[in-house]
Amino acid sequence: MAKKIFLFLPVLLLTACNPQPEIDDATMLDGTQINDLSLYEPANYLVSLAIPKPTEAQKNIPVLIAAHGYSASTFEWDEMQDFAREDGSFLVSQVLLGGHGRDFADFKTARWQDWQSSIRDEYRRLRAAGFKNISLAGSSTGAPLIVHLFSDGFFEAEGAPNEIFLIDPIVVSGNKTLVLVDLLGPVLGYTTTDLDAGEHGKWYVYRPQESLRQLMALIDLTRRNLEKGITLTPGTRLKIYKSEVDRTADPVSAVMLHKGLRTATGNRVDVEMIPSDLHVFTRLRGRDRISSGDSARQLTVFREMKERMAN
Amino acid sequence: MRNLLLSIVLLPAVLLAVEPADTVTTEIRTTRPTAVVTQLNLPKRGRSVHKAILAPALLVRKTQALYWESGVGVDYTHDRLFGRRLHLNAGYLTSRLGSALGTNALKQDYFLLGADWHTPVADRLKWLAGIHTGFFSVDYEDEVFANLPASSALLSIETGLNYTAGPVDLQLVAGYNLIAGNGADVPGSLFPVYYQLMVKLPFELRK
Repeated sequence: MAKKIFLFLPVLLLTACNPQPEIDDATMLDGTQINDLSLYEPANYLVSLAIPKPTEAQKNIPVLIAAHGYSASTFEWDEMQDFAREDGSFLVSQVLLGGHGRDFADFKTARWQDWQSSIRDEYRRLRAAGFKNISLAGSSTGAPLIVHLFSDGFFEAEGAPNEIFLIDPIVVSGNKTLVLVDLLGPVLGYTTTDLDAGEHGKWYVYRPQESLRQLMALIDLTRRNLEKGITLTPGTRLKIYKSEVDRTADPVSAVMLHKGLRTATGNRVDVEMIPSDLHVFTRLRGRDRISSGDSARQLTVFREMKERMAN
Repeated sequence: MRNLLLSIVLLPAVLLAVEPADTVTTEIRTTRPTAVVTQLNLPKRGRSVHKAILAPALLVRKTQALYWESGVGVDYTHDRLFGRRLHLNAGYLTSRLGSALGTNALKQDYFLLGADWHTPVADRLKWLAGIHTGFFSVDYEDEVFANLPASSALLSIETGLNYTAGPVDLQLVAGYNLIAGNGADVPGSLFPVYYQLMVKLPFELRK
């Protein structure tokens, strides 16, 4: 009897420690039937594929590489893409982070370096094609992924970008229980996110503990790098836009970035605190409720980003 | 929150008020079995009673996934505080003497008040559990962050071990801040989980 219990216990623990979510393939991005649209029409999202051989005139057009956040997809920058196409003075390259926009299994196995690789790849392709004015924007987790490219010397090797925009960057999570993910993660297996109606199929619903641990590793590394200090490449400017209330990416993230980042000339970077309680306030599409103030703030920031890239 | 703070602050006064010193002394001497007296570490017959122990302390705290912080504190106990099982303490911790020293880490301060219950588990070793409160503040150093919350009440629970090593007591605890940053109305650099070492140098106040 005792032997049977000893055999049964590990099976029970293993089952309890590896819970699997119930995924609806037909409606969820986590499933195998719905994928990010950039996987079907990459040239519609990536400037390097749309214009592989730019003319001399095209090489001078500002290009913005826009990186979305953790568990999101290229959808997060669709409105910026629409703004750019209507405006016509700059191009937007919407990168899909590695492990994202596919299914739960891909998300579970991807490391944060895999998430970052699509930003690196697109930057290299644009540089190789001859584009001279490249800027980057990162929303939420897209921000520390871009900041890390300064820490590890990527831009020194590949050439300096023009502007960096960090939209509601995350260095500290709003949900502080994330710090316990190493301890509780194996027991929980995954967490579930409530999505608005218009967000279904655009965001992962389930967040596997393996990827949450990757997120924690990334933001913890970013915080420690900021404590030591991160210097931008010569000629690069950076601006942080941060909602004053943000339960996903704690607003203190902006303080840490502001303290830890310096331009090549030793100046502080720009920061603007936004009177909003939205996480990634520049993405309004798909939300259940938005105000006229939200729309005005989005437009103001898009216009400012355009102007900064043109300088 | 306010009631909890008041109860912790007023606890020693209440304990001392409800039991007159002479009464307690008489009861201990006449009714308690010797074994219990020994276990509780109460004064022996014939010697003076009502020992009070005060222990200045150095504090070192590591917050999970955040900063090292250090500071000073004081721990107080008395025979009347349940035979020195109840300890009252106060402390000050700061990242200025830790991670923020010479780095870009945020400068933040903790002002602490607490009560711990010590239970002997072996020779020179006690298990303890406590509840702490106080005040937390952080300096963002720039007006642009003026609308962010920069201070908060503290409320935490702790458990750990206290080991007596010669003249010092080494107290190692794990704690959980029940009030932690939430992205809205509590400073975001107030994290929930921490580990703290308290090096105490206890001495007797009265003989």
